Amino acid sequence: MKKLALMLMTAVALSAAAPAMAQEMTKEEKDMCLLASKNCAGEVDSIQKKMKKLQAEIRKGKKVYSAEELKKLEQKLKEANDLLDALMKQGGGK
Amino acid sequence: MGITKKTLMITASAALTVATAVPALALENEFHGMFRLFGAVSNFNATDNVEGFYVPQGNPKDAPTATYIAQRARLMYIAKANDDLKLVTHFEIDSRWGDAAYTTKRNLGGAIGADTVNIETKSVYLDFNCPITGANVKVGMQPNDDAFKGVLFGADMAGLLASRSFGSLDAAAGFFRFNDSGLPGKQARDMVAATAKYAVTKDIKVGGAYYFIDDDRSAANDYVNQEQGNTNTIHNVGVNAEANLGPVTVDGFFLYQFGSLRAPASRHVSAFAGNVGARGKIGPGTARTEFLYVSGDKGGSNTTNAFQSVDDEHGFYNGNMQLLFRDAYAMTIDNAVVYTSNNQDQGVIAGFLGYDLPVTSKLSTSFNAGFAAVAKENGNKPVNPVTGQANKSNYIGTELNASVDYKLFDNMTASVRGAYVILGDYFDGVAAGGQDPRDPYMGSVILNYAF
Repeated sequence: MKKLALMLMTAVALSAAAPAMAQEMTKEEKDMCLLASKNCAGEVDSIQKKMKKLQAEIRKGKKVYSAEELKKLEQKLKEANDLLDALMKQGGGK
Repeated sequence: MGITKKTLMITASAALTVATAVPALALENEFHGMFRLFGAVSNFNATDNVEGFYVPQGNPKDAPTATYIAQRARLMYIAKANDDLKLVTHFEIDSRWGDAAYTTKRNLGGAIGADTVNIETKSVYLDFNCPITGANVKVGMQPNDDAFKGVLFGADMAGLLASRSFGSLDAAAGFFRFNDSGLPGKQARDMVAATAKYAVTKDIKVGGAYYFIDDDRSAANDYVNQEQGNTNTIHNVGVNAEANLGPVTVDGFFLYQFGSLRAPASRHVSAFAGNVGARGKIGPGTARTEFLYVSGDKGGSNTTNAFQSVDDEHGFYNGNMQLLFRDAYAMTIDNAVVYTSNNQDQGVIAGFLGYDLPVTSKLSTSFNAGFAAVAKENGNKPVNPVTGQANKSNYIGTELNASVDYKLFDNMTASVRGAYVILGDYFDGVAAGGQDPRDPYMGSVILNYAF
């Protein structure tokens, strides 16, 4: 029983580690994350990149997205615009 | 099975349960932010004011040239449970290089040693789509701008705003508490807001807004040279419109105010602000123009025509001015010839012309001119310290400015700017000894990074 429990715990530990292992490089590959801050695990989009991606998807139009989905993408683009406005907004000494 | 075995089994089962539950608890963590560096050489901000109106009266005619550098960082963290629910938090850290260290105050921490408690909370609010009504709700301390290009208010404020689309109609309603001094809930300044925008066609939008501002503070307020009662009630009713007419976009608004400033002012309010703006492609660039009228008051009657803008928690930035009106890039030092729409109860008549010229995909330029006069002269008009008389002219001045922007990266821009104000006769002879104050100027360098 103890063995079973340990096996289960090991399985859990391994399952949590799996995504990290998937990111590892082979010995011959350069680590571009360390070298040039590119392709890092957990990399997120800047707000400008997010807006560009949304604009590109919206341009695909009804060939790819339903009207409802397009509306949702446009709403997300507006939200991103509003966020950028809030960040850049004036405010003087206030 | 012994206790040890049982414990191990329970631990293992619990670990498995948590592991499988993680995806359901997953949050999308969004981080955004900005950093701005602002370096200036100016004889304008060298007046005694760090924030507020330009004050040449009684000061030496040659305001000394000063050089300062200010910096500002903003950090935004958004915890997004799903598309319909998120918490937005937004913080700011800013200082002027060299100002102070080892202290506990906002806008400081730029002196050697730093170590200052200076983080400001700008926004903390919940943003969710209500599953019952279908409305988007924002509740908490949030940014909120008026529907009139910032002549009335534009600031972070605590409240609740619900908005919903009904086909071509976007409507919103909200309640905001600007202040609550003394016994909680007894001496408050509140705003009730209702706005609507209707898309008549794809290119034409018309809108309306009503803002009711009730000030029951009975206490010292933050208005800048603006007559107020101890308590005040202002109704703001306005319309706005925007139309894309081929190569030209035209927009504008008209906003009327009525209400009362109670004792000790004891005056009714009847005031307005109006604006028309246009922008369109001309040649290789984009031309812009704006006209703004804000009513003023000469005093001495039961009714004031002075436009009641909210403290200095607003600004008309569409003219792209740097000195004549508030500078959109100003940070810890922020003053202007026309600092508030109310403009010391004098109101303002202003016109602006601008031209944005892109040179390459990375390099762009902008040229602007602004012209301003007070709408009504009153006791706040500066006087000649020798004669004690004010000038007849209401013309405040003309600003000419230009900027060159270079995109160093997709999300980082460096700008070099210059601005010069030719002071109008309104300021003639108001400096010390009855002399004319020297025309204000500012050269500035800005770095902007946003992510």
